[in-house]
Amino acid sequence: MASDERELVRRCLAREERAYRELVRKYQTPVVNLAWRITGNPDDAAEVAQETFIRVLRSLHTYDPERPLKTWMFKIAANLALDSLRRRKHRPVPIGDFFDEDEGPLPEAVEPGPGPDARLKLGQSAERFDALVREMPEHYQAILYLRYREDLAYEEIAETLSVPLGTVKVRLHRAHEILRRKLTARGARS
Amino acid sequence: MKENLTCEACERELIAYLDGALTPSVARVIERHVTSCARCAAAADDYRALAAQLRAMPLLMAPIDLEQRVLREMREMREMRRSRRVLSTGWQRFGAGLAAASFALTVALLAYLPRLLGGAHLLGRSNWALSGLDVTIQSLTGFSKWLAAEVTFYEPTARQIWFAAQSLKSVPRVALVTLRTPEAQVAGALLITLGFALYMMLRPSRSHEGSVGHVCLSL
Repeated sequence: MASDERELVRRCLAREERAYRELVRKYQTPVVNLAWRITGNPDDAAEVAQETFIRVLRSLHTYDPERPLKTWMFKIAANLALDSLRRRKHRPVPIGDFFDEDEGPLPEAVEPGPGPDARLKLGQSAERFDALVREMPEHYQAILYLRYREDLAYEEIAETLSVPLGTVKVRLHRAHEILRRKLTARGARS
Repeated sequence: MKENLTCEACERELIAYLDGALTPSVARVIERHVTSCARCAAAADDYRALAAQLRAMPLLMAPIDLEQRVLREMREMREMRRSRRVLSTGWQRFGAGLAAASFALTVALLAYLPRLLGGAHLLGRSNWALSGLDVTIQSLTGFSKWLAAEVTFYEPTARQIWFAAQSLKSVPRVALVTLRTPEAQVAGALLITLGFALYMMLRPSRSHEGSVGHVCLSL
């Protein structure tokens, strides 16, 4: 952990209100966005973020300073977001749906696979591309966000989402494959 | 990893390869395949382009009042904890004071009890409870002796139980005789009140889990 982060944690443990502010300001965007990718709803994401910071500040004394603070915080946020998702859907989401990877055919392979000559067309806006990402199941969105927006290593993603390292690899591959198929198919249609 | 890699196997590892998450030996195998296979090279290009798009995915802005909401809740929780602590400390002080007063009163009463009872001609009556207890113990031990004798008659192996009952017979009597002495009564009262006072003073609370009181009581 960086020394400034260590100092921030120390000040939060000393119940300095200014340190609380700094902590929230520093991590609010990543936490809100991870929660958004999992819950798919901005209001739920805001609530999850608030609850995450409360939990973090209350249980900071249990935090192991040898581990990255962000990963620990993400782990709390991911668990809370999943709880929120379960409540909103009014049905129990089996933990395996989110945290385990099943082998087998791609469930989202609605588009045919790209042929040997098909090429990806990425000339669209970030918003349109993100709309495609948001069509994907939450667990793929969360993993893509953590890898490409937060630049987390595979091991950190595995820890955050409590999944094996192999699952991270498989999911990233599948998420890319789904996006590639969708984009290729749209390119062929247009 | 096998050198004669299929395109499917290569594609499965491509993302990890582009992310630099493979071991060097596996990465070399993938690299060799990608440079010699047009299909996998195209897939690698697509994945690279996708990764670049994903790195630019739009972010949701955090609510502007998130910081305030968190701080407000933290303050409320702190206030609640503080008021609970004040309340609990107040009750602890009150309990400790009560225990100390009861301790002093017990000592005084016990010291003057024989004299007070003698003056009121109640000394004989005060032993009724102890006499009743004595009779009960005698009846119980008598019954157990009779029962043991009966069992021994039919079952010689029960002889040991009979011996054990015989040897234990003196234990309640010793306790009873000891209880009758004023010193034992004073010591008993002292222990009870001291225990009560200690409990009130060292009573654990949720905010003091792991404290001396908590440890003493759990012991």
